[in-house]
Amino acid sequence: MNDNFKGLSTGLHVIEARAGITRARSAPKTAATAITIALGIAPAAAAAAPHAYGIRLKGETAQASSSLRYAGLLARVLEISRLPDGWDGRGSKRPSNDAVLHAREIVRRFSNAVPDDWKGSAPLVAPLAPAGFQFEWKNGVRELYVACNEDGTLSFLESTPRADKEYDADMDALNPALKRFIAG
Amino acid sequence: MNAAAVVVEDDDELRRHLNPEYRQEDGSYSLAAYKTSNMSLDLCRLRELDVSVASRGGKWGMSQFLAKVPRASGLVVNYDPIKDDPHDADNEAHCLIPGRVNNSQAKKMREAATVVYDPKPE
Repeated sequence: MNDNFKGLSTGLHVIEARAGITRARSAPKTAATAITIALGIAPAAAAAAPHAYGIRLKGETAQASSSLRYAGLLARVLEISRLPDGWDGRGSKRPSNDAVLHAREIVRRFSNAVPDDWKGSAPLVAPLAPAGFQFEWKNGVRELYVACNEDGTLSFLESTPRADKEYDADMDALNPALKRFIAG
Repeated sequence: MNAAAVVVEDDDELRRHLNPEYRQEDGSYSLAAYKTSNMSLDLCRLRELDVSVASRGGKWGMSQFLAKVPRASGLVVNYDPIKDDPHDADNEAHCLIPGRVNNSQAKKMREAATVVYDPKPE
């Protein structure tokens, strides 16, 4: 097994279960290939542009833990993207394509922004009615909330004991917000 | 019941349904549970908890908070009974927070809310 994916095989069962994926026992599969399938990514597409999907290659220095964190988050995004219309009652819809794209991009940027030795936890990811995603991070007393709205807009809340800062912005605002959050 | 005769007081308790999708692995509920557009709520004094629970099939959680909580953050709480609607069952306790709730407003509601029914995930 590729060293960069050590530990992924055990985590993969969790990812597959959350994504509602089953696979034949006899199907031989590398961890890397299995992950692309678990995440709903065509292996060929992942091979052509691995970094677009946050997949690290042999020789890169990523720790298995960060890859697992990334894969788990993407699996949750995938799981949510498969919700049916009406999942939260009248008026709720499956996440819009814009919201799914933004959610994947948020996962990718978070994965790139966070140091491998970071002790904080991964964000909670939840569907947001009528058709979006909600990300929630907590690092000590600092909290960060990002909503991917159904119309493609993003809503931020940076919360500290001193003040809450609420604003709407585009994806360019994410990296600075993550940087402030990770710095604690 | 005459809709005009019901006034939602600040000290009235409101009940919010908690979709299982909002339940996190640590047992907490996401802010998203309080961040929907045109949020539906039950006025507790007009509907027993078990009726609210049954209306969602028994598999959704329920939380409660005072009407003055969303109002204090600039939201409006309207009494909005449902009757003879082709899409929803009748609900004389139904209330509505019109418009979109932002992150700050949702956070205040989550902080003020008490989870009163919390079914174990399947």
